[in-house]
Amino acid sequence: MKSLAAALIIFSCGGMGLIIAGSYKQRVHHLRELIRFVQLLESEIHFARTTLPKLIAGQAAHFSGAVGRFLTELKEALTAGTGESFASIWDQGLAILAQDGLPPEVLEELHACGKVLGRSDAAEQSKHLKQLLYRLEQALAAAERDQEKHLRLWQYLGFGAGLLLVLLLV
Amino acid sequence: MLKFLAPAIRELVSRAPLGELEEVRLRLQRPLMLKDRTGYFYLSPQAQPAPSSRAYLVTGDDLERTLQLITESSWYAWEQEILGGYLTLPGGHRVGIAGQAVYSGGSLKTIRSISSLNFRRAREVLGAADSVIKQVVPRPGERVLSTLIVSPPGCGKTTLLRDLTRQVAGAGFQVVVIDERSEIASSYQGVPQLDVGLQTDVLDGYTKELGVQHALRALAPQVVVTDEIGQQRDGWILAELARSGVKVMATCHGEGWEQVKRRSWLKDGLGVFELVVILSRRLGPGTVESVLRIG
Repeated sequence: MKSLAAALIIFSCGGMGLIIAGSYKQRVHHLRELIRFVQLLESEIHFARTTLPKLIAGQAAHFSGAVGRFLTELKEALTAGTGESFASIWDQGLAILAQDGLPPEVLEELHACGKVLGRSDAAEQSKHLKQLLYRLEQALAAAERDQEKHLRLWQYLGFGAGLLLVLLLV
Repeated sequence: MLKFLAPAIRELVSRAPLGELEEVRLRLQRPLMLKDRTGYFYLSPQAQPAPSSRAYLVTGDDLERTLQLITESSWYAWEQEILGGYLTLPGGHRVGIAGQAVYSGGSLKTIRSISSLNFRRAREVLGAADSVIKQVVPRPGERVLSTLIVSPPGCGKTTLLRDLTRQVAGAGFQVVVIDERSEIASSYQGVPQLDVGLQTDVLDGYTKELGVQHALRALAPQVVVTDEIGQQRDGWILAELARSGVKVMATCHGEGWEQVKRRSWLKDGLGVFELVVILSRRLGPGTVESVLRIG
C-alpha cells in the first residue's frame, strides 16, 4: 500500500510537471501556426486579393490546435450573413486563443490587427500584416527561449518534487 | 440581391408590397428608398410606402453591415471596382458607391466615409436584338457587319448590345467583349453574370486600348464588342481593328447618325461601321427607330 501511494504521488507530481512543461511547447506550436497563417494571409491578400471568408474557409482545416479552432470559429461566423464587422468576429475568435495560454501582448497585437483587416487597400493590409508578423516572430523567439530554459526543468522538477514529498512523508 | 443588405433593411424590403424590385437606395441618416416599375418610393419601419417624414431612416450600422456583406469584409479585393464607384454582385446586380474621395499624387486613391449605396437589379432582355439580328448577321457563320448603336442616354443601347453579342456568338462567330465598365457582361470575379453567348471571351475592366491589344494578340476574335465609344483615342482603336480584319459592335451617345458622323474621333475610324442602329424611348427603352446601311 505504501509503495502504491508513493508511486501515485511521484507520478501525479511528475504529471503536473509534464503538463507545465507541455504548455511551453504548446505556446511555441501555437505561435508557429499563427505565423504560418499570417504569412499565408499576407501572400493571398497581396498577390491574389482573396477575400477573407474564402481564404479562412479554405485554410481552417489545414491548421491544428487552437489556431485551427480559431479559424473554424471565424469561418462559421463569416458565413452567417449578418454583416457583423470582421473586427467583432475576429475578437470573438481570439477568446479561443486566449484560453490556450497565448501571451497577453500577442493577443493585444492580434486584436489591433483585427480592427484593420479587410478595411483598406492591399498595400495597407500588407503593411499591417508584416508588422504583425514581426511581433509574432519576436514573441516566438521569446517563447523558444523560455521553452529551452524551462522545459527540461519542469519535466524533472515534477518527478523530483514527487520523490521529495514521498521521502518527507516516509 | 437582398442577401447583401443589412439584416434590418433586408427584412423590411422583403415585406414591402412591391412590383418587381429595381433599386434599393441606402443613404446615411436619410429615408430608405426603393424603386419598382411604378417608380421611387420611401419605405416606413412597417414596410409600407410612406412619405419621407415617416420613412425608415438608414443608420450607420445598416450601411456598415451592408458594406461588410457586399465586400465580403475584404475592401482590398474590390479596390479597382470601388475606385470606379461601383461593385458587381453575383447575378450581375450593381451597387453604386458614394462617399469621400481620397487623392494621392493627383489620382484617386480610395473612397472613404461611404454615405450612399445604390443597389440596381440586373436586367437582361433576351431577344432585344431579334429585330436587327438578320441585318447584322446576313449570313450566319460567314458574314457579320460592324455595327454602331446610337441613342441618347437611357434608351437601351447596352441591353441591345448585350443581346446582339449573345446572338452573334450563337451564329458561330468568336467574340471578344472589352467590358471597360463591366456593364455588358456584368462579371463577378471574372465570370459573366449575364448571357453574352457561349463563344464569347470577356475582358472585364480592361481599357479599350489594352483590351484591343490583348484580344488581337491572344484571342483571335472575329468580332470585338465594346460600349460607349466617343473619345479621341477610340478612332485609333477602330482603325486598328479594321486593319486586323476584325468586325466591331459598339455603342455611342447621340441623337442620330448625322450628328455622330461629324465627330472628330470618328475620322480615324471612318469606314469601319457598316450598319448603324438608332434607338429611342418613343415606345419604351429599346425602340429601334431605324437601321442604316452605311459604308
